[in-house]
Amino acid sequence: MATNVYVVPTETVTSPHGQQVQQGKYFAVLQSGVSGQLTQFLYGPELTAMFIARDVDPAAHALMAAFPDCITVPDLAQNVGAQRQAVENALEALNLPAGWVTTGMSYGSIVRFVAIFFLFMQAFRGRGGSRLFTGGVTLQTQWGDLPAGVRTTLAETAQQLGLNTSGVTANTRIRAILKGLADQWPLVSIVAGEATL
Amino acid sequence: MPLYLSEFVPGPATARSPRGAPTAAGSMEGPYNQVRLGRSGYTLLWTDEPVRHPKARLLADHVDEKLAVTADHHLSRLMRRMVRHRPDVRGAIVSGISHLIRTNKEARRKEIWLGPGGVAKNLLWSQPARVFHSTKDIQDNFNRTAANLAGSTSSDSQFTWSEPQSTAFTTNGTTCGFSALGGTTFNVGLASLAMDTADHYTQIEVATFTPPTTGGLSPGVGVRITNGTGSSDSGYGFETGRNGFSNPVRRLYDWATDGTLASDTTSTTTGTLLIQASGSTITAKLNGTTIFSITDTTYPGTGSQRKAIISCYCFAATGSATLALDNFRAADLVAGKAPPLFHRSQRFFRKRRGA
Repeated sequence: MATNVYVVPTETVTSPHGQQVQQGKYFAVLQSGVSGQLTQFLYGPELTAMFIARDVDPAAHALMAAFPDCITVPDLAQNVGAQRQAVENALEALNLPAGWVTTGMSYGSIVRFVAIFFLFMQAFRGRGGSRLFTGGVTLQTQWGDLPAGVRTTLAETAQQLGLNTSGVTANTRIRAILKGLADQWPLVSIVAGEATL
Repeated sequence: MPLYLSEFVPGPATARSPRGAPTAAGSMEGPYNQVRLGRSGYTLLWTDEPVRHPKARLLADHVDEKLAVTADHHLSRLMRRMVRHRPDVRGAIVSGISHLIRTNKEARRKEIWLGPGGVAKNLLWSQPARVFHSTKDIQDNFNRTAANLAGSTSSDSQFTWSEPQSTAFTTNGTTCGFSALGGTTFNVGLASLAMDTADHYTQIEVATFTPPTTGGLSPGVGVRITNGTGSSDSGYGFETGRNGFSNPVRRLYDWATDGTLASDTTSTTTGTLLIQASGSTITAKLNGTTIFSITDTTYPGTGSQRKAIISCYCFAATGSATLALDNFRAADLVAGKAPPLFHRSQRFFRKRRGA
């Protein structure tokens, strides 16, 4: 019983009910090679998805690992160690703040943080938020430079989740805001199918 | 000092316990203190040394102990007394053990036990349950004159049905279903009465499942629905059966977008389907057994996001499909809060291994 985590871009596909939906690329590849459950986290309205799959057969895993735009996360119990910079680069490329990664952290703890970022952005989307990282907005963008409507929706999202935004000023960068909100996330389990983060 | 919520795991085998007595996960790694949380299979564990066991969840460490206190007010009061010397970890404890609240045998009280024993000994917390049934509990056995489902009144007379997508659902005297000969339909039955709280469930029994020769048939249920149309909508769906390629599939999905959140390929054609939303945990069950459980925050169940639906996707490429559903039920998960009757604070039962 092993858990594999993959981070992939999303693509528009036709859902089982005939809708056009955003879904992680290679979902079908992974689904066909998983004997357990396959769980998908979307980074809210952003174009990134994370698969958490239980018992992936070696052939499907090899296929996933071979896709150049698929990040195959190593064993969750393994520490980042010398790969810290590579992990940071990968996260930043996905518009996920990464300055907090240390060599002593396990991949599992990083995946948990990523899941928290995803959950925050899910709630943002649920409140009607559309893509945040578009039109020149990056992790370096300051709060005051975001459109007023986006700021309102982000603030409402934090409030809905019981997170404190009192430390946010016009000069606070998005990376600091997201990390600050994630730091407040209750330390209770995040359930992803047969895996717990 | 780091504080953990730890599950019990089998300890080393001994002559007395050949299979190993239950031991707090991580507790073998050094001196520790613990409070067992009743018969829940959990313990609160605190130690100077970090616990790295996967079944030991870090609730608070000595670096950053700021956590949102979202749990029950009464538990907060209790924890304030319990950990007066460590108020910074109160929120963590509350978050960690709030799910350990149990209803007692007579279903008259909510209780947390530190372990077996009498009321004066190990009962940690208790408060009367004001009501012992769901705030809203609606049911329909479809035993009525055959007619279209839309506009019909449920067997418990509490609500009426509408069909926001397609109009194929009909009652036949004992069940609700439809038959299709060719084509694609997505049938949705929406119960008019909204639940009182964000935490509720919906269930339906699949009585008859006859898929087309080629194509799909997927009965399902949904919670936290706004309007059932899929447009300006909300909620989560759980469906089983066959997809449009005749392959077995079960999935938990975002009702509004139809995006899959969790899935497998186990064939399921009968049984009682249930989907439950509790906080950010969405759970799908078949005949009482959990199939999927995920964390999702997209639809918190606030405002208008509190209706229940039944659904069935059908794609009959060749041949006809028939479906019959029975015994619909949707209900809130919890009763309203009642004032506390009494609180008892208890000393931690300290146990220092090797000391």
